[in-house]
Amino acid sequence: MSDIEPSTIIASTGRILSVEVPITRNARLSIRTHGHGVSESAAGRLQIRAGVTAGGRLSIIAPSIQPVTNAYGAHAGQGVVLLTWLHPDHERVLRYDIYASDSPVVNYELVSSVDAKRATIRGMPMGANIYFRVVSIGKNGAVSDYCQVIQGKAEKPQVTMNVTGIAGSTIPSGSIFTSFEDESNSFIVISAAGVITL
Amino acid sequence: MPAPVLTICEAGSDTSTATEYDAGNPIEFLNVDKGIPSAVLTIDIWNDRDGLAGSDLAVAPQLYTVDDDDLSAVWAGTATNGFQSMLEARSCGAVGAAADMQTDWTPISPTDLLILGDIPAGAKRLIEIRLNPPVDAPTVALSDFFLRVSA
Repeated sequence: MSDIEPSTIIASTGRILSVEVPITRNARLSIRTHGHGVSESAAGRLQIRAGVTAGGRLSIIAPSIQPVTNAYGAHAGQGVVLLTWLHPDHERVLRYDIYASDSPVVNYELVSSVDAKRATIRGMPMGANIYFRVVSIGKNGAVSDYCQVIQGKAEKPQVTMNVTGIAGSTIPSGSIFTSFEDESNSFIVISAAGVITL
Repeated sequence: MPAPVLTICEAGSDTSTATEYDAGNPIEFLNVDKGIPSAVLTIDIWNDRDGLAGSDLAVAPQLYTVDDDDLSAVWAGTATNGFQSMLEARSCGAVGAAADMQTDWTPISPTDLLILGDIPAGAKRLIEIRLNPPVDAPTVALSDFFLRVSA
């Protein structure tokens, strides 16, 4: 391959050199810009313009979002569960999806979606183990791994009371015997009927 | 008039001190998540930085890219971003030249140019560039390209 000498210099402004190059049939044209410059070809004319090139590198990876950490759950009574957690990059999170199941491994169902780092889940079955998973959904559409399973049981209120009875006393049906507050501060009234025998 | 002497340097360069981007010091956008624009990188484009050539540049220079590896998928974009290049640039200031601040990002590719304002001798323009892959962008392993500015 050899250089082709331009036959006609159309213009040379100091910035742009335009030349017309004869190209014969089946000829190959090699353009050298010697380090910098841009070549354009149109209708057999070439323009070589001063310029500079810088190298660049890029890579595009699959979206990702980190899972939540420090997940914690507490039963607030009456089947209401409060969940809280932390996230190392909360600004990138679009929302958090909360799943619940009666099994630690399978059957998780979406029960709530929130954009805060806490959730109040209502209507959980009482007296059974409940397992929660929290998943971060990124603003980039990424879905995180689920956090460590949060296990808990929405216990029925445990009621104990000490009764000092009077031997042979009778409590009429429907009468109010006592009242107290359970762990969720619900006010409970108990009525009873029967005979206390000591 | 002498031809312009263009250089692409790291941000913060001046007429006495500059670090040019070259093969050993590339402009890098590494591990950019789909759906999240990369951090904005500012570069300086100089004409006749040391003033020795005495050149002037009355013609608006053009900023664009050239393939090294096959990055046609990056230049083509996706339906999500309207099939435009994922590499974007805009002018954000100048030293020694009238400012041509641009608020909108312009996609640049081998066929999409960003037209800059004139750069007199001893002046520079500050250009912001970023990689803005849409959510449905293809995964691209480490790939090389060239950023070019010409008179």
